[in-house]
Amino acid sequence: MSELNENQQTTTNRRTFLKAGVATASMGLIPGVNLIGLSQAAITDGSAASDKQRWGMLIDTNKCESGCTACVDACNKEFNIKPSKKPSQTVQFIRKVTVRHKLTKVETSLPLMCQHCENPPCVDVCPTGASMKRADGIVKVDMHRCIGCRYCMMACPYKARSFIHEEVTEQMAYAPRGKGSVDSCNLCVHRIDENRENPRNPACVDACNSKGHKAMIFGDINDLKSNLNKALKKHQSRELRSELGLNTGVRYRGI
Amino acid sequence: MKKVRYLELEGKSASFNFLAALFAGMAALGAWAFFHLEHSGHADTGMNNQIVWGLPHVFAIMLIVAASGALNLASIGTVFNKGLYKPLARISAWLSISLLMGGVIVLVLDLGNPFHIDYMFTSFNETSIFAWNILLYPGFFLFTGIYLWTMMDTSKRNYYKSAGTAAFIWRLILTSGTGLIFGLLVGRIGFNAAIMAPMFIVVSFSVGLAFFIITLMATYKWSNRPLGCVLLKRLKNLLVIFIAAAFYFAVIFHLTKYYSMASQDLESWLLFGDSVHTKLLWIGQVVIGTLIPLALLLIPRVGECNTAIFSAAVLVIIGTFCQFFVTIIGTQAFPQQVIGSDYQVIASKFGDADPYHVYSPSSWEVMLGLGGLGLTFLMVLYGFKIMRFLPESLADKDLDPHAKSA
Amino acid sequence: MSKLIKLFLFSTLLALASSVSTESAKETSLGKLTYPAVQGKRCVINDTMEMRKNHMNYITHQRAETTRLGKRWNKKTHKNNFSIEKCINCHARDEKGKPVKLKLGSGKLNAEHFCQSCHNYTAVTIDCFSCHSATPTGKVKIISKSKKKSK
Repeated sequence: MSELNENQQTTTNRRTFLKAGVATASMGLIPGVNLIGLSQAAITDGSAASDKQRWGMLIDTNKCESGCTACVDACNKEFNIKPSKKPSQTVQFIRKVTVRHKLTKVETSLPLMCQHCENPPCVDVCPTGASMKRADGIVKVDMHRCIGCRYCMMACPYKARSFIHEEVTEQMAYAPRGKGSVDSCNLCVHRIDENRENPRNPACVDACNSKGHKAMIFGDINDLKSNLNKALKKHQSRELRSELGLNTGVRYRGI
Repeated sequence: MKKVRYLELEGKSASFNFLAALFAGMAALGAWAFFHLEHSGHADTGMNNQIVWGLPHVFAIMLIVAASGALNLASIGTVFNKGLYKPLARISAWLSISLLMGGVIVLVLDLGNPFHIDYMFTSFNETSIFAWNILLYPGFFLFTGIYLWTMMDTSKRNYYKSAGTAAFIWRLILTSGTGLIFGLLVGRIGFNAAIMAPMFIVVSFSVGLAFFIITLMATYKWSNRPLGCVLLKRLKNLLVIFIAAAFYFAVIFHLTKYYSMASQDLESWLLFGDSVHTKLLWIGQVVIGTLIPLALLLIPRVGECNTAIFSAAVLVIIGTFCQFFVTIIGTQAFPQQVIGSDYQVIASKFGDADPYHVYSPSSWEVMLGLGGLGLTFLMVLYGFKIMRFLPESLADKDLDPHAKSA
Repeated sequence: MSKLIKLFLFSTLLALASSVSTESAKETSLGKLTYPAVQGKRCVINDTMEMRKNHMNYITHQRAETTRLGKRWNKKTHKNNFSIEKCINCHARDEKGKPVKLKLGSGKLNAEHFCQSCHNYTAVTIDCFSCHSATPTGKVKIISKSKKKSK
């Protein structure tokens, strides 16, 4: 009875929230009622993330359309990120950049976000261990510990992190984030934790697929059967700033 | 050896009260800025997701670096047995404690979540040089405090030398740590360099001595105590060497960065660009912070033992401030290489393709920085009033005669 | 079932008695507390006073495991699930089941909010909700009960 369709539950956005509000409000007219929660945030069994898995991505820049920002928009919606008063203080988890090869002058468009390094500089430099790498390779911020020193932002080679300069309201219940902490892409860890055997794609990947570009493949790098593993073996790909030896979990094809 | 008498400041003169009010006012501005930013978040600062460390960090790093440098005078006396400097040791130690306090306060109050700071100690990350620095600061207070104690309590005289040596070694480690905060940023081409550690140490020599000279001369002037020319000339000569050495390190740093193709874009923008950082580097660091002070100190007649030395010290502090501004903010202001050296970013919503990132500090940041400076000198002032840190006289005739020939 | 009701009544009485015995002055102030008296199936510790006193310890313990290790629980496998999201989903509602917002339009904190009402009284500032959502977002099923009447 208390089980609920987890998809319905975790995609709680403003619309479903409104629906729920209407529903509860109308139910509230019945006198002498009581409430019990039906919310199930995750369907896992209390097991920890395992180092047998490593989440990652392969981005095919040939398929990535210049000018398309579906992944960015989806991310902002997923985490309810709104533009700041000062544009330079707006939080960004993922951004689109256009790059030009210095030799061939070929221009390529690609999405850039936290690369989920195996040896992340942001984790090395964090004084409190708030910047952390989970056993399954997800690099994220534990805001309970974050003191807001921004040293991880200084250390990140990809400028993947943002400081939350102003008060945040209307956070998503599954993605807490607030003023004074650093925040970044966490590969939609709330989606992964619903089902680590067969997780939903991160919001950006979903958006790219539904646009029909299918430039991003998400999955478990260590899983020999996963599409990601197969694609990585089949195609040549590169990590960004490879000279640093960070062994990133996000790889690029076509540049 | 003639016994040096130490006496507190009376602390009743109009100039004392004026200074106390001034410094307290500065510290209050800092506190106001802190509470405002704590409430509003860093949205009200000029810092953003490109310039993540701004003016408060320039103030903080300069004060922290100056702190360890200010201890030098005591170290020269204790560790290297130069008797002339021994009467200065108490001032030197107390000034360095005060400077570090001012710097660390600014650093802490700029944090996004200052009330989470207990995690610094409960979940220490041993791979973080910043975490190590947070241990080095209390260590510096401890070692310098003990050192000061052995100076003032004659019954602890046996430990004087070892306490002084320990404090000296600790301060070298501390400043190396400060430099390595930047030197270990492997992902940032503009910072990542081993020379950061020794460069910060040498800069600490010059700016620390400059703070010391200003404090010493102002205090002795306002309290009408004699300050001899022999001592000042020694300090002057030291300052010349330190300024030159700091400049040498800066030249080597920029030269090597310019030589490498990986960082040449950044360096040529810093050295020959059109931003404020280029002006600060050439006019602030080179002309005001190096050339004019050297001229003031070296040209005979000009370099007499009063105004010129004081002015040179002030200019050195201004120059060092500019140097840290360029090192910390200027390096961040140039777009980071995010893809690899074979690609150039030509368009981005996040400023990756900007010519450079603009930083315009708000008054809150200035206030926070001034607050640290105010706190430092408030501590210095009241330290001198409460404790016997100041020799009654530093006139030539009262100083250790052996030291003159040493 | 009647056994359960008895147990519930007993624990309520016990809780009342213990709160009365602590300090009479506080009791009058406690009477002014405005959090809604939502009652339903207990989800976690079946002891109101224990939760009032020590809820933060329960929450803190699991938050590190969830955030850092990725442990997430559900009711089936783990009886006590101290996810703050779940606390909010039931508690931050008024008696009719409407979500109660923590922050009023003026930016002031709402004393009617379940957490804030007590924290106002105890003058303890918490920063949970600078990051966590303080408003229920999940769905709830409202079940008809009349325990209050039976009290």
